[in-house]
Amino acid sequence: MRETQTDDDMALTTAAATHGPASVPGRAARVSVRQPGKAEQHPQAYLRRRRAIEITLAIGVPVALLVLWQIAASRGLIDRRLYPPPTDIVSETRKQFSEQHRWHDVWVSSRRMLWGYGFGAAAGLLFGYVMGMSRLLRASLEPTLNALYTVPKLAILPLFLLILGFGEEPVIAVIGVTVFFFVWIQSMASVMAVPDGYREAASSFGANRWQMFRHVLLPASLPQVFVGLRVAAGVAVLTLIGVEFVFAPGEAGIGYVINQGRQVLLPKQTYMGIIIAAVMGVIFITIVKVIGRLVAPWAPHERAGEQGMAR
Amino acid sequence: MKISTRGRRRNASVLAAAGIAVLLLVASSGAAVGEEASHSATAHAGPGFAPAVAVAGCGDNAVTDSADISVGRKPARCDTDAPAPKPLAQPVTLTVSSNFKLEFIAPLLVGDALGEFKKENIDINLVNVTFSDAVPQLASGQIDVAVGGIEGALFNAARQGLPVKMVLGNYYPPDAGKPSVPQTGMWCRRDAFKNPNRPKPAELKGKKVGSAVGKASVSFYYVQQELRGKFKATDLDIQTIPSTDMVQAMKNQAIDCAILLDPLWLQVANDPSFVLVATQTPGEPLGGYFYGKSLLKDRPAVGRAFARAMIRTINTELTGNYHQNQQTMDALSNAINQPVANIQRTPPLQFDWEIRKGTAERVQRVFIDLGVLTFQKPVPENKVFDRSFYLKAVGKD
Repeated sequence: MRETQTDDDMALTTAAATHGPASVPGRAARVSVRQPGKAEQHPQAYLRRRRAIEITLAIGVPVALLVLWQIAASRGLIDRRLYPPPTDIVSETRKQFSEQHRWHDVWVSSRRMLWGYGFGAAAGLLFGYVMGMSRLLRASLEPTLNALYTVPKLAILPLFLLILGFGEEPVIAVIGVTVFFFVWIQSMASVMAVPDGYREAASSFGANRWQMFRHVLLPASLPQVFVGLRVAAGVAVLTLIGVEFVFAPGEAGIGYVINQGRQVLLPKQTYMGIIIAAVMGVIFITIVKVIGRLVAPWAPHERAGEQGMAR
Repeated sequence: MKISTRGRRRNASVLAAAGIAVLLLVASSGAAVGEEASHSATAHAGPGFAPAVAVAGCGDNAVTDSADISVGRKPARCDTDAPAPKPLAQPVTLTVSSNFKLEFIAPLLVGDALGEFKKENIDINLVNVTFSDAVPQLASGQIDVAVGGIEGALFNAARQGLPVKMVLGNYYPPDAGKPSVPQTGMWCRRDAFKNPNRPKPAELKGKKVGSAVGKASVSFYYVQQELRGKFKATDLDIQTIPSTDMVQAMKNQAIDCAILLDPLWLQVANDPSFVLVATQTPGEPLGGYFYGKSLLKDRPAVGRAFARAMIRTINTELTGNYHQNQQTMDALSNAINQPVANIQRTPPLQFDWEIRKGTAERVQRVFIDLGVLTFQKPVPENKVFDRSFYLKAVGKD
């Protein structure tokens, strides 16, 4: 969109007539004349071009970084024994997946993450909605939960080991507790942020508590709740890797693989594990995002603003 | 492509500045070694070229047969206050990493507290870094000295040609090799054996054993050595469990055995439900002090000064029953922030700066069997150990 500015007295008169009381008689004023830009004239072509640029940047920036890394390692600018180039990591990944059954580690970690996330998210949603709807419950539980929220979750791993034993349960519990707080806070805040007008409209139609929840609070809060669920999905991966660093039942899991590479100085294995964890995170967050779109299709998404502008 | 004159000028200035910086760095490192520089040149000539220079106070006992790992062997010792300091011309600050501030690094802590490093014109900057994380930093010169074990990271570093070597041993428990004496080692629940009163090592096959660092623990080397012929470390089901939760895990029957280090074993020492199955190998330090690029290559004279201070501290403060030496105990107690009484609950350690022959290969064999090391042929000893620093300090190189 282009914008032209003039200091013309004639234009001032026109502008004052058109745009209301912004002008003061006798004083020169600035007038903005807006002419349609490419986005307005050729909206589809503009969107396609923008999309192409975005995709190019999204792919190009990481690729450029990888190429730089590769060149730096190949030319000896960085020590490739400590910072192996991407090609070395790729070949190590192939080798480890074919010879050392890394799929098993991916599966074990994914299972832990899904159970932990599932429990944590379910509890977080329950507490979030119930506390968001009940002032009394909020008053009684919020201070305690806020205090627990600030406790580093890895620090309570020994407690879970003591209570739940030395199997998968403590790992799942730590992930679950971490996820719970992120989902609880976001859900509660989303319910509380539903405008009073929505509630009043429903009340005037005689909606009961359940109808208020089902037809007003849930649909109005879901978009923001899914933001919390997406953030929690990333946090679940972070927590999983952290816990597996310290305690990995069965000597399996991506965190264990990363830590083992670190302990015995196998940088390629460590980087491989980090990349797998990142990919797991991206996939998991994307899945939650897609579910969010399916469950709450009315939620605005990233491209909505652009399309509105193009329209 | 055109490069503007201004750009060329800027590049030239940057290059000139970088050149000056490099010259200054070289000059300062040269100045730092000062008096030791000529000595360092002799050392570079290598064994066989430079005659050993006798060191006052370090006689025949200053070196022992490195193949001897018998129970109760005596470690090398010089007289008190020997070897005498040879201060560096310029003060040097060394970054030393350790993941623990415990008694087993007493030579470093007590030496620092009582000024033995100051006598060499060395300041110690102690940083808390695990050994496996310190290895890359040793190789790049960001850490000068690391406290660590003879672990997988060391062998993988050597195999990749990284300049990281163990130059001083640390200690061995005084009663190593005597499972009847409670100490660091592999402890098991008696009820994990068919006859709890007579646990048989052969029954360890398939037992769940807890270790804070999993299979990568050098403890499995001594377990296999101690029980050789009866079972192999690969027969164990090794579980990674935080060290402070190990005893609880045994009590809950989540694991059958655990590697319990000082002072964790004290929790089960008087409990008849537990039995010590294997101790650290006698007379054989399984950890020590490691140098990297900065002291192996760039400033070996500083490395020798550090070794001298460590050895002098052991000879002066940490020999015999040093737990009864008030000055030593006060220094150690302050350094590790523990009351003297707590330190005295475990027996004094046998500090040993020497490195045993064959340890590297034996440890690697166990790690290769356990799958911790992915190569098959052990790295030669001279790639992971360098005895020249302590031999030079006591006048035997």
